[in-house]
Amino acid sequence: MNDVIICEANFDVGEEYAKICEQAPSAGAIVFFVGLVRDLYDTQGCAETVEFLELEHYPGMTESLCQEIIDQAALRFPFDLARIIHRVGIIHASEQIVMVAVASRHRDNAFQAAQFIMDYLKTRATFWKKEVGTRGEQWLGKKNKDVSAVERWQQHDSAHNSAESKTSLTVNEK
Amino acid sequence: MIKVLFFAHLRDVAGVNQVQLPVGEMVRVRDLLDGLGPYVPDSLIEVLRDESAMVSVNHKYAGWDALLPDDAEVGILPPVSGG
Repeated sequence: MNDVIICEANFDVGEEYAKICEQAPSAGAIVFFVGLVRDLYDTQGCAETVEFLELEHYPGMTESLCQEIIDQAALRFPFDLARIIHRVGIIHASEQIVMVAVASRHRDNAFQAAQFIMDYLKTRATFWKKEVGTRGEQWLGKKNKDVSAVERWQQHDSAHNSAESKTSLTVNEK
Repeated sequence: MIKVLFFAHLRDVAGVNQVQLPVGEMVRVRDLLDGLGPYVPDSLIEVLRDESAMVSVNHKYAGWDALLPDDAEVGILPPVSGG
C-alpha cells in the first residue's frame, strides 16, 4: 500500500479509515485532515464564487517530495502509518481535494505529524492550482501564512537542536 | 539532451509544455536562460531572469547555480499551491 496517492478520482474517508485501522492495528489514535475546495474567494466579505479548481502537479517529483515529507515527519513524531491522498485535475467547489491521515500509539504524535505534513505539503510539494469562478481564472501562489507555518517548524527544530547541544554539554561536563 | 519542463503559469507564458535542447556550452542551470532563447518567447526569459522561479534537476529542488548533468530533466517551477 502506497503512503502517497496522487489521483483524479475522489476518495472515501470512511474507506480510508477502515484501511488504516487494518494496516495500523497497534495505533491508539488516528488523525485525519481533509481539505475541501472553498466555494467563495479567499477574501473577507467576498460574495463571488469559485466554480472549480484545476490542479496539476509534476509527476514523479511530487510523489518523492510527499514521501520525503512523511519521512521527515516520522523522524520528529514517530508514528505507525501516514498517508497522503491528493487529487489533481478538475475539482469543483466543496469537493475534497486532499487527505492526510496519521496513525500513532498516542494522539500527540498523530496531531503533530499531520500538521507537519500538511504545512510542508503546501509549501514544498509540486502542485499548482488554477482557480476558476466569477472572477475569471487565475493561478494561485504560495500564501504567506503557509510559509510562516513552515518557518515555525524550522524555529522549533533550531530550539530543539540547541536544547540538545546544551544537554550534551552538561553531560560532557559531568 | 536537456529536457526542460514548464508548469502552471510559466507554461502559459512559455506556450509549450517542454523543450529539449542540446547541452552545448551549458554547464549550470542559469545557462539555460541563454540556451532557451530560440525556443520560448522573450517574455518567459525576462520572467526567469529575476530567478524567483524555483528549479529542479532530475526531480530534486536545485539552485540556479546547480550543475546540469548531460541528461538532465529540469523543471521550471512557479510557487507551489497544493493542499
